[in-house]
Amino acid sequence: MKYSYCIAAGVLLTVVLIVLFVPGVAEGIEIRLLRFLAGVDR
Amino acid sequence: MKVNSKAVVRYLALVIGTLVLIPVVALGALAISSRSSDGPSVIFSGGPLESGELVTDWESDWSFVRGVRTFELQLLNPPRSRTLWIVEIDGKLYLNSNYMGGLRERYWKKWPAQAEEDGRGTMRIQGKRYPIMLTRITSGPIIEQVAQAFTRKYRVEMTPAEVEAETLWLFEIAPRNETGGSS
Repeated sequence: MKYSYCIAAGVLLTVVLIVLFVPGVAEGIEIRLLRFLAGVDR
Repeated sequence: MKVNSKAVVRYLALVIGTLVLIPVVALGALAISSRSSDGPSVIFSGGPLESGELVTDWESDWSFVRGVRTFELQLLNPPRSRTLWIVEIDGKLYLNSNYMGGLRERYWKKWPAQAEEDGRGTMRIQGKRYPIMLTRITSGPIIEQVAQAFTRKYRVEMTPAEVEAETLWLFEIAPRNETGGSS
């Protein structure tokens, strides 16, 4: 079970690093979120 | 073969919990990173406006603002920035804050109250930064003109009644006078 917690933590850490350091990901997420909040499908 | 149902449930809970946490963690990372960036992002407020030429001479002609969709505003206190709408009327600039009152104002939109308390700030338009002073306007004939200007420009209806009900706040943007002893 400990091993599973480590994997989960690693996944979350990877998400943070991708969002912070991979160009375009942050903007993509924000634009999708904005569209969702505005009620635009695509 | 004996299946440990408790372990299966725990693994399942861990997987579901991780999946739920992924968007939460991603948005949290975005919000935190925005706080230290030069200007706001699309959704989250940003840090102090640092790049761009600092223009201390107030423009004599702001008519170009009619073609500007958004600008960036940073208050001096707290030094955070956000993207806002702007209109120009007879050489004067105005900004708005919709959805005031209720839970949104209490938990999300704190900058209007902060601006009302201390209107000093910096705005960035088309890459240039201007030291400014915000003054909230709540009455007078200008209210109707500003509401109409926003309605025309952004096609979102704004009315003097909303200003009266304090669900719409309007601010005039003026040059900041640094001779008053404040920094």
